[in-house]
Amino acid sequence: MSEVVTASFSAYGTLPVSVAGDPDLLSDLVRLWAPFVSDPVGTEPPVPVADLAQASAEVNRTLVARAPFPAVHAGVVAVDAGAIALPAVSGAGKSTLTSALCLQGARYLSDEALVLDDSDDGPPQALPYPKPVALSPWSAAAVGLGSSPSLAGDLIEDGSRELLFGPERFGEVAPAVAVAHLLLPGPVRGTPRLEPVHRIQGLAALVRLSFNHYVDPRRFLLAAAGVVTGAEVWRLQVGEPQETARLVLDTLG
Amino acid sequence: MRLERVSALLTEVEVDGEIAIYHPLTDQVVLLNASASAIWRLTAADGATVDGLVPLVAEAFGIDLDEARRGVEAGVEVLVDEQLLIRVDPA
Repeated sequence: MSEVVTASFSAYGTLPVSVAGDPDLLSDLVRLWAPFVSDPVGTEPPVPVADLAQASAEVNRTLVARAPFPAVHAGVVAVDAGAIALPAVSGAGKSTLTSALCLQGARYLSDEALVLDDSDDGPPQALPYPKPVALSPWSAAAVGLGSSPSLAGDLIEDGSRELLFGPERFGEVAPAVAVAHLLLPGPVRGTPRLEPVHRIQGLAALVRLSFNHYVDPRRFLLAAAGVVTGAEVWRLQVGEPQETARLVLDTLG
Repeated sequence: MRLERVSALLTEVEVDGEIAIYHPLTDQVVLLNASASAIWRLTAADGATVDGLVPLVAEAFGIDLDEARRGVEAGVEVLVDEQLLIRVDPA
């Protein structure tokens, strides 16, 4: 369990969020992790990994929302041309497709957040945020990871619903890079397909799926516009994960 | 009726000819299609009116005046509903 916490905070450490200087944030984190790390007698009972994954997701949301950069709910990988971002809501298959892309050669940035460093002139850079990836057993099998998670494997009980995989399972983590392609996932339709769409639709998706636009809406809008101006925007009809990843990499990689 | 933009505090970005506007009072981002974006640009001028915009839109889009009027009236309605424009009675 401590392995999961350590791996999670290692990923969060890539975001310059100051826990020490923010008592409210610290309090939130303690509350979220408490059921999993308080173990005064040293006898950790088995914890359903789904609960752990949920706590990890809540910690993630708490921290990303406080990152000092615009952040959007998205999976992100990197190819030679730059980052490929997949903005989508929870449950849309971001983690599955991000995993499939990485296992076919893309480099991992995040399965959860497109964090945009807009501190310099030029296009905003997608920062690495390589948190552990939570996949259902079906998703893990579909992308070829099998059912042996690299984290929390001993915490699984009663056929739990999610498996946690550390970022090392997806190869090299990419450095910060500008977004080259924005993919707007559509519903699963069987045969994967990519169609170019107007950039303004990409801007709409980034705004709709932002974690923290309310902090500085003007800054967020300018950063989002910087992303879509420098990127190609596509509608992705999602099919079987590995087939979809092949299409994306053959077309954009 | 004169058309006036509601606030100088709006944040506006343009992507491929289409405009997105953040409105600080409603805390909303409004995305305008190409036609609404054209109308929005024309309202930047002082003293803009529907009657004044119609020939400009007709010329810009190569359409007749009746069609342009329908488009301008619909576009202005959207911009007023989104609280980006207000109609000001000159009296």
